[in-house]
Amino acid sequence: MHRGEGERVWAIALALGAAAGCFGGPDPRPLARDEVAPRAPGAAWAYPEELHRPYAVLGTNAGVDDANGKPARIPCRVCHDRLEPKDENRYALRIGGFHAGVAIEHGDLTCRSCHEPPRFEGFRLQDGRPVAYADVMRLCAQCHGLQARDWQRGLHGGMTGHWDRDSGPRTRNHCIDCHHAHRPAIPRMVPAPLPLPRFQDEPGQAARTGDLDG
Amino acid sequence: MDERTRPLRRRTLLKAAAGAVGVAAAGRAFSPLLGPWDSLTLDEVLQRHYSELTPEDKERVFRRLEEKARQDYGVAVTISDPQPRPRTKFGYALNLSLCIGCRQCAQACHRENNHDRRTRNTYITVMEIGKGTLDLSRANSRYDHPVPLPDKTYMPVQCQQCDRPPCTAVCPVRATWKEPDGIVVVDYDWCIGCRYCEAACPYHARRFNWAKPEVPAAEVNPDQAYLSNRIRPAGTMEKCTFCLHRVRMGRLPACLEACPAGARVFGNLLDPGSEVRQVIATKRVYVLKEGLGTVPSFYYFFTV
Repeated sequence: MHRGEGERVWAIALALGAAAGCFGGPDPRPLARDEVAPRAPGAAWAYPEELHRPYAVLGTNAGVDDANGKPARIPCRVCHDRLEPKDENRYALRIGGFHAGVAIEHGDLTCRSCHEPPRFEGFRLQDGRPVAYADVMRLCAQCHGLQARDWQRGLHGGMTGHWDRDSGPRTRNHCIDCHHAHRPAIPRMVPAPLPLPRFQDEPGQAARTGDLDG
Repeated sequence: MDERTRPLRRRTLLKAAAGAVGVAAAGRAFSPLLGPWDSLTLDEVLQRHYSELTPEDKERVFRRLEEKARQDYGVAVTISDPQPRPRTKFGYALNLSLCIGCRQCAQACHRENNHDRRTRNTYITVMEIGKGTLDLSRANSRYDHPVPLPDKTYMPVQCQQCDRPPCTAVCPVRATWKEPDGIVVVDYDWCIGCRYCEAACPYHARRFNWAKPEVPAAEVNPDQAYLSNRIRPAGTMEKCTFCLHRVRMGRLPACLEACPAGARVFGNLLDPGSEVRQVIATKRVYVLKEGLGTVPSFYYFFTV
């Protein structure tokens, strides 16, 4: 190496370093770390939390549309004021007509597990106490206590609106917004379409899996 | 004979020729850098890093971007710049017992964040994993059959908003950084598209804009933020920001609102009463690839 070449290398390195340094922005801002004082129990938020209410008429679909173009619903009491249900139909599985969509596939529950006989107008808990339609979640909580507790804490169930209810309201789902009361298992569904694969070698060839491997 | 007075030697000539070839090759190699300058205005070239923009700069830049969106996509958009809220650090929790793998979250992300319609891009990858294993090396992110299968667990993966993010550390121009509320953001106009961050992220949470996004005017989400869901230029990196433009206004992220299983919980990690803190306090949570020391703000948990 000739004399002077070392200096040249250093000069170039310094110039490049200075140029690279000009690209960098200022130092990152520090992360927020202070813990917020917990809200006093029961302290009010500025905005309410609404519960998404289920449909108002307890009954069955009539199979025709009403004046507003929505499926007309017939309250249970229209018939069951006079008609006593047969015990063989307690799961409402093989009866058609108005009951076509009623079929109960929910453990060993029958109509009378939740609906109050004889008119099936309201609901009742297992100990016989009546439950208003608005509080129908209490029926579910009789068996599904862990889910009900998680729901109360906000850890279970969908919602829309604001996480910060000092900024705006929030609407929370009711049990039966997601779970059909008679067939509570969420039905199988076709997933939303996939993005185009990044790792597909040739069109039509099976894509690799395990994107997160390693 | 003196070295200086000798005529040109063969070896010297060869060296010079090789040098000339080298210079020409280097010039050719860097020539693509000259391309983009044709389409850039002086204002765009001189635009500074996000953190150095004065309020007047921001006003000018945001209006210019809005005008560009109007010209390119034929739609009136609003580009805002919501700031981190004081004493707020965002956290996300996801209940793997409830997730059914329907990818509605990924679809909502696609729409909310103005992703390219042609590639159906999204920030969320849903993994299908054998139940009881959580073996990611055998996970399938490209399943396309009705879900859920009874012997599978479904695990959506998006940016984990790490407290020690490897992606920001490798950025050679500091175009990506962690905000005080925990969200890792990208200044799309400062990014040089080197994709180091994509390589550094152990969660495959970053995406590269290979082409100018195609979004029909009717589908453009006009509620946009500079650091979040504005339509990104081609050749830049992009990533999940927990819907920064929504959550800094107190709203819930789009993926949470879309979840039909109610598996997602979002909130302020610094508020001991928040729901995401309730998850951490009462459930056995785990974070993805904990051993890497990235310290995610995204928690997975199971319930009965």
